[in-house]
Formats: sequence, structure tokens, C-alpha cells
Amino acid sequence: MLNQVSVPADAPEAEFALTGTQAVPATVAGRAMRLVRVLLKDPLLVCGVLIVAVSLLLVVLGPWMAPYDAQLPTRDVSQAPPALSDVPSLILQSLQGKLHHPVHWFGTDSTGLDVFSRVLVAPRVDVVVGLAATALSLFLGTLLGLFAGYFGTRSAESIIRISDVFQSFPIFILAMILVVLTGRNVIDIIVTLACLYTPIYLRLTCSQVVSQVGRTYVEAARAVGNREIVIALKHVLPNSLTPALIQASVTIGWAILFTAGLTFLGAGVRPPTPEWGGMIAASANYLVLGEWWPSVFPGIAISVTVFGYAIIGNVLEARFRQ
Amino acid sequence: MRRVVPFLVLATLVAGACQSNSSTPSTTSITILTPSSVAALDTEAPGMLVLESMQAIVNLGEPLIDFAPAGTTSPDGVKQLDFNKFDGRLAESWSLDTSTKTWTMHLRHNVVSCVGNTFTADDVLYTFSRAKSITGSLGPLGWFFYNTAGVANFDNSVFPPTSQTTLGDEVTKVDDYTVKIKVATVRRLFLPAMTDFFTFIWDSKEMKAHATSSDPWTHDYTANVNAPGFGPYCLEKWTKGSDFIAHANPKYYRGKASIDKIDFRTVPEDANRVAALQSGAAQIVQALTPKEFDFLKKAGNGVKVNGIVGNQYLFFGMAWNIKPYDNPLVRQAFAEAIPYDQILSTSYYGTAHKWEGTVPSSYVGFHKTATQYSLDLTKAGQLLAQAGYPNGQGLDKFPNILQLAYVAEREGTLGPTATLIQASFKQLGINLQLNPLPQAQFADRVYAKHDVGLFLDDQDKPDLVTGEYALGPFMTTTGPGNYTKYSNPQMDALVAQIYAESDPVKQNDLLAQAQDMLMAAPNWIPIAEWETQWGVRSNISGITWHPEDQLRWYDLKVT
Amino acid sequence: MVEDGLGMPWKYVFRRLGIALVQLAAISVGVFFLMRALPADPVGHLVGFNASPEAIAHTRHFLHLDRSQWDQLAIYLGLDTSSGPGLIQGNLGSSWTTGTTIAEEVRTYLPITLELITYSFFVAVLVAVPIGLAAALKPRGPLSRVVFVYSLFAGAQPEFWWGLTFIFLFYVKLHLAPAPLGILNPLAQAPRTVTGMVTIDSLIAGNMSTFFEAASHLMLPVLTLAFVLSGPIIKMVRQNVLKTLQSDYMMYARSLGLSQFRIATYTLKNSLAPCLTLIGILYGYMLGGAVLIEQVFSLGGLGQYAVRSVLTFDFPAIQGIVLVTTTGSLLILLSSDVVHALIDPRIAR
Repeated sequence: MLNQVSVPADAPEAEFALTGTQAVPATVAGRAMRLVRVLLKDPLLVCGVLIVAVSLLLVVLGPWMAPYDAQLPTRDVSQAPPALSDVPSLILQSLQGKLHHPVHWFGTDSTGLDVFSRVLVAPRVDVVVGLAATALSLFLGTLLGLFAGYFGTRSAESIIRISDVFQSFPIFILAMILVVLTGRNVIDIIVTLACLYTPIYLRLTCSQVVSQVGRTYVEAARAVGNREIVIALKHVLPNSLTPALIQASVTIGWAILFTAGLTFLGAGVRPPTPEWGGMIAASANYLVLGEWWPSVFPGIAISVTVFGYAIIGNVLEARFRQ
Repeated sequence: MRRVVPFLVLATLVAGACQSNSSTPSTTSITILTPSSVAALDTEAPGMLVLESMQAIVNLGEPLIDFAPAGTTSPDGVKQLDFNKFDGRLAESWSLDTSTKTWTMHLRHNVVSCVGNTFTADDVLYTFSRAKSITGSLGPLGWFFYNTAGVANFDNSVFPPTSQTTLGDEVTKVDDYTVKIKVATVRRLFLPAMTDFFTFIWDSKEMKAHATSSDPWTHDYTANVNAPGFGPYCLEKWTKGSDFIAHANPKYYRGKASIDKIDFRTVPEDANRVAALQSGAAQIVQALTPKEFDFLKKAGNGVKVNGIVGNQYLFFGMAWNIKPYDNPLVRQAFAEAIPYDQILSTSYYGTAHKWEGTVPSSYVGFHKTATQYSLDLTKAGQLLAQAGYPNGQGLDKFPNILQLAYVAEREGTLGPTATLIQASFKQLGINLQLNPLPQAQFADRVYAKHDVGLFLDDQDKPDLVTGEYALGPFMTTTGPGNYTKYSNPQMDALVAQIYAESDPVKQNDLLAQAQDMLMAAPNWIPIAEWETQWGVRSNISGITWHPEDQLRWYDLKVT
Repeated sequence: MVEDGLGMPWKYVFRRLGIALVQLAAISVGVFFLMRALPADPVGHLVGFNASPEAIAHTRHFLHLDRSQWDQLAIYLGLDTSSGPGLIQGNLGSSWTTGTTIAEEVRTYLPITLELITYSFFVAVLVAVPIGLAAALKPRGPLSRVVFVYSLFAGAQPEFWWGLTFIFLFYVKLHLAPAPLGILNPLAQAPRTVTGMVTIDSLIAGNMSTFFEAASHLMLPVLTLAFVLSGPIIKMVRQNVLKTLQSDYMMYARSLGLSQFRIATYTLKNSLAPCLTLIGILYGYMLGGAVLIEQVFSLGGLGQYAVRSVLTFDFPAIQGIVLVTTTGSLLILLSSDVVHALIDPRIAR
């Protein structure tokens, strides 16, 4: 959540940068193999990739992998998860098909909903909102930033001041108001988040564009006779995208955290839609009563998922920052 | 509870959160924890609708009359009142002359307020005048209760264009301790209305002392500083948003309260209130979810839970005239699709029972209706098919209607209930969407504008304990509480008859008819009557249930 | 490190202040209309179940909601003082739920939030800077790797969940922390209000037991926030120190034979600038962003007040909170930019 504030960092991570004297393989297969080797050398990166891959897998296959319907209350209310010592035998029994009904691996909450199933199905909301909101804000932000940065420093500065305003706005309040205004549908939450993150991409792209506009290739393109808009879109934009794209991975993580926080405050998705933050909110009060499982497992899920996206973001940043 | 002191701290300097009572030998004090704080002490200010404000005012002020104790206790240890018998408070005795429709109240002598003023008939007149002036920022609540009681001239003539807001001859002072009140119609609601805190008697001398030219009825002072009254407790310190400290009025006419000091404090998080009660830092906590009360009950260890099924109920409301609910078969289908037993056990942990009427069962005139509903999905499916929506097909034409609204802040209890209903309806082929609304929005759309199709409501508590009050405002076409826009000329006629009828037996008969009619409809599907509960240290006793659900600190005892 | 005089970049400051005023005006008006664009009416909530049409009309009139939006704006801004002073005269209005003036409510709740965030930042910086520095000095060592992973991890955490988990661990299971009842437990005597911050006020009053009481209640929330804040700060420190270490003049210093320690002290000052900007932005963000922690620990700060106000459609309160928070953030952004400009004069041009 706090990596929200994107102050550009400059130095590439020494350990990730390729030195200029390494030979670049000529074939695609060769390059792919080299990439895989590089990836495997770094366990952190492997973790990150795995986490992101699992989250995307759950988005697609979550409901089929879940043992219970994530929105159907069972008769087992507030049941604790099985003791650690019982888990191996339970796994064995379920594989052998000996159990009447599936095990509640993560227990059940006070409505009788199976926590494990809900944790598995929740990425359909959390991760999707994260991806969609990031994509939307990336699209809008880069276009607006391109426009702002290309057509003079005056407009660039006013754009930056406007995005300052957004940055200093208490975003939770803004988000709550917007969600109440538009309703608590997933689409509305995506749009709200996109509104909040667009200024970031706008600012990033704007400053990149401003630095690109003075470059020789732009002059050359003009000399050849290209129209300004073609220059902007075909030449300048691709060269200005790098910081924005790097930021994207981290934004996905923030969006997941923000959605969870918003639902925790009561302004996110409607119940009983499985969503990690909502699950934590619903059972936060019962932690003190000793019922830890409906809050702890979704929390671990958020924690690990956002960490995964942050790792990817950081690796990209290290690799591609000039 | 053991606490490890942070390494910076010398052990001797940490105040114990583990102490139960801080007390010098001669004073007892208790701490009561609530989720919100006292917002106002003016009965005509918006803040008065906050439950904590109500609890504060019932203890700072005194009514003319109160209900007499029934002598019985609920199964969970709460003392009950007899709603057919009255005890005199500021009024010692009273009589009604039915020919002139005038009540005569003989007032009590030697009642002294916290600031030292003696109670006289002037205070009663002041109170009625203030109510009639309708100068409060909230809405004319005092007027509303006197209007419900049938007091003459407390009708629409006080509003523009006639704006008759000065007290006329409807309330007259015979002498310092006798007052006559004229009523337009004789209603059995009159005496219960006099027990309600919206009509408690102000200390007029003190009120006038704090009046200003722009605020002649002292709304500002009472909303923000104090409520001058004749009650058993005096306000010592009030910090809006956190605590409210009162000490016993030594000159109270029934004798000084046994608990000297009450610290009525705000702790918004349920879990924190539970923790405080268990550690002994607080002696009474309220407004927890049934699950939390159940936890406290099972944990025991110096803590007990007292509760009573009073007038809190849960119902499933359906708009009367919106498709598809205008079809009675659809309503009945829904009524047969609600998983009553599962809701009672999952949401209420056994502290609720099925509501078998449309009026609280503790109220005068309750009737167990002939029609009763239970979970029967086959029957529900047949009814739906008869209505033209076999297997729920065709109902998705109404997507905005199939949203079940409820108060988001009550997610703890209503969440599981709504989810269970949603799951049950799904088996019929109906896809309900849950729509938790913030309290403000729910109140606006359901309570004020009446424009929600489907909703769950568990916050209504008709203050006056008679069947006609529990029906009238809600089930008549022009009733202010007609959330479902129910309109049935037969019902309107019945209610008018009930109000006009003076024989209580006949009134109860008519009420029974009305309740049967409503249950057969039904625009409210009654689900549960649930307990009002308090978490209490074992050494506290004396909790008595009053219809506004608030503790009377005077009744409490520490053993 | 040559400085061209210790002069404040006054022109820059004034220009930024001017812009800030425009931004504030835009926000006030923007929020005003945003609130009134909400589909719900606050009146129903205020009138309660006795919502007769007369009562509703009465309340609407009292709250000026029956006037046109432009009229209401004029009243709010203070251009029309027939109902009392407005924003220009310094009046933020009164809360529709409690009736207290917004200024007073902000004065009660804001210091609590400031207390929480300031301590958290203090702890976070105290911990993050040395660790980041140490990690940067030995970029390939195991410490550096661990710190790097930690910084990524900490910055990606849902702080509200960690708060709950800490409560569960340290209070429920281990009994090391006091109950999360807010800053003081119900029986403690609150110190006389000077700043509004309980710890400061109790120190001023000389009431040591209350001070330690409040401090012990602040332990867990501060721990949680500091944990999450340490992530980006460590990352920023480490990155910038690394970059500075690789610059030419550092190579020169090393070739001169200066010790690691001396080098470290030189790098610190030059790495500070972007770090300060980050801390400034984070602090401004936290003014509104600490709401989750406040909610979990029941602290009674500005965030909780904001949530309550939004959920009860208390328009004046929301407008007041937005104004106060945004002013605070803008001022902090401005100050950190000014400090940045002082350290690196190139910015102000």
C-alpha cells in the first residue's frame, strides 16, 4: 500500500544488470534458455513468478478447485481447521475418497461458509480488480501523460499540480464516496481505483515524454515530415512507456491491498462475494474470541500475493531502468 | 491478566487495567461500555436517535408515570415490567374524566432537581409548551408523542400554515401540584406515552436560565451541555465522542441511587468491549452480537449474560406495490422459502425465537396468528409456478428489485441471515443480490422514502407497548413507518376503529383481526424475536427491561 | 558539496503556496458538489422512523437542503452570511450527526492521528535508515539480500490484517500487550487537553502513569504502522546510498583512502533528499491512510471520524475532513519540496 507513492528510483540493482560484454545469443530458443537460466539463479524471482502464476491460475480455475460452493453456507458453523497432526491422514483419506464430505481445511466462518473455498475463489475479485484497474489507469494515464508532456512544459506543470491534488486527497474517503455514489459493483470499484491510479501514470509518462521530446530522433522525425500526432504516438510513446510498465506490476499489488482495505471499511464488494479483505472484516471481531482462522488465512493470501507482484515489479525495475 | 511492562516503564507506574472498581471506601462506581457515544441530550435533536443518548436521558430525567414491576424475571435474568399497571413518578396519582376528556394529574411534592429546583406544575406546562413549539432541529418528536397520546391541539394545526405553536387550554395549571390535560380522543396510549423519555419533564427554571434570545427553548444547551431534569442521576462530565460521567442525585425523591458514579463510555469495537468486560475494566457492556454474548456466556469466569425478548424483532419486508411483489402468491412463496430454524441457530445462537405474529409478543394485544410460515421449498416452488414464475424464471426481469437491502453496520447479525436467505432462494431459482447499505442510506431509503423493494430490518422498536402502536404507524396507508407502502383500506378502517374503541377487550379482538389479516398478506414476513442482551460482571444485578431497551442505572446494584 | 548560501528559495515557496491555495479552493468546491451528487439524502437518517413529511421538510429546511446548490455553496463558503459565518470567515460548520462544530471535532481527532503517525515514522526512520545504510555498504552480502527482501515484503503488507494478527498474538495469546481499547483504558484519567495528543499532554501535566498507560496502548499500532512504513523507507535509503556510492566523487574518496565510515556519513546527506521526499509523501498519505489502523485499534483518530462521517452522510464533517487532510498533505509536500530544494538548489529553478 505504501509503495503507492512512486518516487523514481535511479540506480539499477547491481546484481541484476547485465554487463555490456556478455554475448547475446542469436536464436530465440537460445535467448529463452538464457532467460530461464537467469531466472532460476534467483530464488526470489522464482517465488515471485510462482505466486503471480498461482494467482492467475486461481482467477481462471478457482471455483473448480474449491471443494465447496464459496457462497453457500454449510451446517458447520465456526468450525476450526483440522489439527496439524491430523492433516496428513485427512489428505490420504480424501484422496482415497473415503470422506462423506470434503474437509474444511481452513475451517468455517460464523455463517458456515468454507474458508478454504473462499480463499481460492477470492482472486476472481481481488486479482481481477487489480489487473483491470491497473490496465485501465495505465491506458488512460499514459495517453493523458503523453498529451500533457508533448505539448509544452506549461501544461505539463499544471497537469502535475492537478495530480498533486489527487495525491494529497485522502484516498480512502474519496474511494468510499465514489463507491457509495456508484454502487458496490465490481465494475464501479475498478473504475474508482482507475481514477485513483491514473494520476500516477500520467505523471510518470509526462516526465518521460518531456525528456524524450528534446531528443534528436524526434527532430529527425519532424524533419522527415511526420505529423505531430504520428510522432507522438509512434515514436515518443513507446520510448516513454518503460517507467509506466514497470510501475504496473506494483500497482496491481496496491490495487489488491486497496480493494481489501476498502471492503474492510465496508465500502467494497458486496457480501457474500468472496474477497480477502471482506473475509477479514467479517471475522475481525471474533479474533479476540479466539476464532483466528477466518481472518488469518485470507490475510496470508493477500500478504503473499501482493509480495509476489512487488517482486516482479522490482525485478522489472532493476532490469529496465536506464 | 498478566501484563509485561515495556522495558522503558517502571512497574510501579503503570495503572492497572486489571482493576475492577476504583473506589474509595464509600463510593461505588461502575463503567458501562457502548459502541457509540451520547450525541445530544435534547429530545428534539438528531443526536437523540442514538441509543446512547436515550440511555443518558432516561437516567437524567424523570417521567410523570412509569410501568410497575411485574415481579417476574425473564429466563435470562432480566426483570420484567407489567405493561398494564402504572406507578406514579412525578405524578403521584391521576384520574380521567371521560365526559370532558380531561386527565387530572396530581403531582408529587418535594422533588428536587440536581441544581436544587423544586418540581412544580410549571415544569409540566413548560414541557408541553416546548414540545408544541416544534423548534427542535430534528423533527417534532415531543409533539409526535403527545399527538399519539391524543392530547388536544397537538395535531397538524401546529404546522404551517396555521402554525398554532403556543400552548392553549389543553394543558392547564390548577395549582402548583395539579395539572389538567385535555385529550381530543381517549386512548389507552395516553399513559404509556407519559412513560416515554420523549415526554420527560424538564426543570423549567434551569432551562430558562440557559435560554437565549435566539434559542428561547434552550435547544443548544441541551444538545451540547446538559439536560436539566428531575432524575436519579446528575451529569458530572460529558466529552462528546468518548465518555459521559454521572453521579447519583443525593436529593432524589426515591432515595439516592445505590451506585454513586456511572462512567458511560464509548468503545466502538465489539472485541474491545468483550475484552474490557472479561478483564474487569468494565462492569456492563451492551450491543454485542449474539455470537459474542454466547462466547461471554460460555467463558463465564466472573461474567454473565442477562437477556430478554422484549420488542426487538427481525422481519423481511417487501414493497407492496412493486412488481413482482404485488402478486400475493410471490409473497407467500418467499415466506415459505426462508430458513427460519437455521437463522435462529446460526445468527442468534438460540437467543431468539420465531416471531409468530406481527406485533411483539410482550405487547398488550399480541395475537398468535392463524397463518404461520415455515421453510417448505416444495410448497414455495409450487406457489412460484402458480404465480407465473416457475423455477424463478421471469423474475430476473426485475434485477433491481431482487436486491435484499440491510444495514451494513449490522453485518455481524444480518450478514449470516441474509446469506442464508440468499442460499435458500437460490434453490428456488431466485438469484437475490445482497445490498448492505450504510445506516444513513438505509434510513433514508427505507425509513424516510419507503422506496426499497426487499429489505431486512431488525432495528424497529415501537416505543409504546400496545399493539395498535406497533401496527398503526407501520401498517396504515399514511403511517410514517409504512416502509413497504402497504395500503389496505380494510386495515386503515380497522386501525381507526381500534384507536377509537375504549373497551380494551374489544380493542384486542380487533387487533387480533388486524394481525391475522397482515400475516396472510404478508408485507412483513416475521422471522425472529431476538433478545436484548447485556454482558455483566457477576456481582451486578437489577437489570430491568424498559421498552426503549435502555438501562435504568437506578435499578442496578453491586453486591 | 558547495552551497550557494543558506537562502530559502522564497520565490519558489510563494509560487507553490499560491498554487496550493488554488488547489484547496478547487478541492473544497469539488467535494461540496460531489457530496450533493450522492444519490442518498442525509435527512432520512437524521429524522428517524418518525419520518412524517412535515418532519422531513422541517429538517431539510434547517440544513439548507431545500435551497439550490449554488445557494448552499454560497452559505458554506461564507459569501452569504445570513445563516452564520462560512468558510471564508473561518467557520467549518457543524456536524449534522452530533451538532458539535467541525473545528472542535477536528481538534479532538486530528492530534490522535498525528500522534500515531509521528511516533510510527519516528520508529520507522530510526530503524530503517541504519539498516538501509548498512545493507548498502555491503551490497552483495547476505544482510543486504535479507534487507532487500524484507523491504519488498514489508511494503506489500495489508496493515489492517497485521494489526489484527498482532492483537491476537500479543494480547490474546501472549498477554504481552494491553487490550486494544483505544489510547487510554476506560478507567484512566485523561490529561488536560493542551495539544490533544495524550502522550504529550500527560508529559506536560507531569502525569507519568497516564503517559506510560497511553504509550503502552500505542505500542501495537505504532509497531504495525512502523513495520509497514519501514519497507519503502529502507528500500529508498538502500537504493540511494548505493547510487551515491557508485558515483564518481565517491570513487575519488575511496581512492584517497577514506574509511568506510567516513564515506557512509558523506553518502547519507546526498541520499537524504529523495528519502525526505518519500517520507513527506508517505506522511501526507498517512493522514488519511491510517484509518485502517485506527479502526482496528479503536484509537479515535481522524480516519475513524472520516469513515463515520461518510457512512452517515454528514456533509459538513466530510467537507471539513477533506479540507483539513488535503491542506495538511499539500503543506507537507511543499515542505519536503522546499527541504529538497535547500539540499539541491537545482530543483527550485
